[in-house]
Amino acid sequence: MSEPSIVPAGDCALRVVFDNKIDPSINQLVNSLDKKLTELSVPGVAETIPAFRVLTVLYDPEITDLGILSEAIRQLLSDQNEMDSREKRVVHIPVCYDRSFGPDLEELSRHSGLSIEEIIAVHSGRDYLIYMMGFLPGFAYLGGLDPSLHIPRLDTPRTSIEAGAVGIAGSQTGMYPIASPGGWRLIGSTPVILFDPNRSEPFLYEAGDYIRFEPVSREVYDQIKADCREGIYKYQVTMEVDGGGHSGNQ
Amino acid sequence: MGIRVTSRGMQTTVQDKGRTGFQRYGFSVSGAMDQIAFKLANSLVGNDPDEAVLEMALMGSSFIFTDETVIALTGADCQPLLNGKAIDTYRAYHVEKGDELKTGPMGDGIFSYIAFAGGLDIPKVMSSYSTSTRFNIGGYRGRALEEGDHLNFKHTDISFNQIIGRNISTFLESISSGPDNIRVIPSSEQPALTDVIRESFYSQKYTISSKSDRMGYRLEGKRIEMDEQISVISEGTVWGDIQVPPDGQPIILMADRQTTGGYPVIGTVCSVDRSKLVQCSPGTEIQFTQINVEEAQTLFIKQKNWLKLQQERLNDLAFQSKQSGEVSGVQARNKIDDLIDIVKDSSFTQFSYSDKHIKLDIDHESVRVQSKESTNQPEDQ
Repeated sequence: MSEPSIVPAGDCALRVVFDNKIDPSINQLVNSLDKKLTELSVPGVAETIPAFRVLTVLYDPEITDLGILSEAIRQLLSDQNEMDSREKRVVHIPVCYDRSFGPDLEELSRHSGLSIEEIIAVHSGRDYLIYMMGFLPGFAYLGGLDPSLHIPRLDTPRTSIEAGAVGIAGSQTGMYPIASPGGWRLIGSTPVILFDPNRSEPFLYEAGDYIRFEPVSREVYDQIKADCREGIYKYQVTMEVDGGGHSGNQ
Repeated sequence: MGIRVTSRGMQTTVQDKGRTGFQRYGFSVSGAMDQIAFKLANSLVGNDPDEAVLEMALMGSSFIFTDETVIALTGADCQPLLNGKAIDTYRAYHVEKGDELKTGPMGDGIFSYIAFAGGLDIPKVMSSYSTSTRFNIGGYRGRALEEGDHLNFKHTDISFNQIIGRNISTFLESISSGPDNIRVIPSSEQPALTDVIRESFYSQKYTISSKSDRMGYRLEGKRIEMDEQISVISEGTVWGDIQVPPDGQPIILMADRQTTGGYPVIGTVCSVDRSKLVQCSPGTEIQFTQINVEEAQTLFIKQKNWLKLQQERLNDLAFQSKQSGEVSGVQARNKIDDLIDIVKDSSFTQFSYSDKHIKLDIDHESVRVQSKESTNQPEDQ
């Protein structure tokens, strides 16, 4: 891995640019630096936008400047190992893979040669790293979809996909936090409200977290949906040691 | 009570400084396109500079007031009429219940702002009053204003008499780079953008397309030919990023920009040119030149200081404000010193002030302060 470069992005931001590829270990460097910048509240840093291989750092030029901030970031990068934690934050997302929510399940079954039960087992059988958020509020770019589930987008996008829809596009899987047109192949739906502007924490997860899809029946889906509407649903988030078991509940 | 919309205009929305802090979750900043005009509108009516205002685009709205207040219009000249009589922009006016404000097509720009003493009584969503019309969140019901909408004013302790007539007549020219010149901080490390491409970008004129909006200003000019093989992995965007999509016609990212983007960025417009750029109407020809980060920041800070000075000047010129009516001793002395500084920094050639305690004459050569305290105590008893 080569040394990241720090380049200006206008006069109120800079970009810390890591190796030019989509890779969990590169993304880990972005997220680790992001956490340190946030936790240490470096003077002048206003906001950060973590992405696949680039951390965009917005700053106030009245408080700091490119030179001072670059130096502070270089220092944090060299301290890389001290604060790095092996713990990962896992956000549990219940998904109902009912046919009514997954109009493209059969097409995916034909395309992959897997039964629908197998598709569900594969899709919910691993944790997905959030590389970046963007495109829509609360939309997570997830890495790590099993190659057996890769499938091209629809030729003609649907004019509206409901909030909560879970789908696949090419080599990516994802969830729609708000209703939007889209060409994703839909395989299920989550009853949890992924983005609620009036909730104290409008978003449930951020870049660097992991998403774990947990299959639920239609009945459980309906119950969770009702609980969410009443504001009594307990969102499941666990801190886990990489490769290890549960170490906490929230 | 507050204000009722009688004509919607093109796109009139509630805006403030923007919804910051959520870009990492994919939520756009929004906020006033012309941040200077927005802040000055608030300062003119005695508000905190970040209060909610109305932003009108291209074609103004019309309103009936259902309560008394003080208003100020800034930004592009929307030819405002108060009860049929022309009023100035950048000046605070008293309005009564039943008064009618009409605004029309913008003359010298495309975004106008109206601030109301005390601000608009609107709930903050995710810490901001700004309307995100893309996601129908914030502002007035998450959308642009429609005929019949009624917005309430916040309760305010501001004394209207002290702000009526406040105005701004001097503007900072020393930071400007000419009307059609937009300065850009070049990006680095963009393999898709060769030196030849960059040279061509800075040597031609671009026209702002009519397809521009609060998300981005689209430019029309000679097509930029890029090697299609070079793709960019999506990364965070910032205001003013100039993206080059495959069609070779650049897009400048604006207030409602998406938070991440996957097109090569040729450079970023410097902050000090923001207001000038956003006020360029479709059809305007612009030319880009390069500026380095340090110089851009120096100019930006100069602009911010000018803005602060305007705010202080407006606040202090209402000399008998809440506190200052009764100040005495050291406090009064500081107040006088402040006033002397303001007058010296401004374009006044002469300034006189007199009340029951003091008589003050300031010109460019001298300052004369005369205390009346010892001589005329009985006067007001």
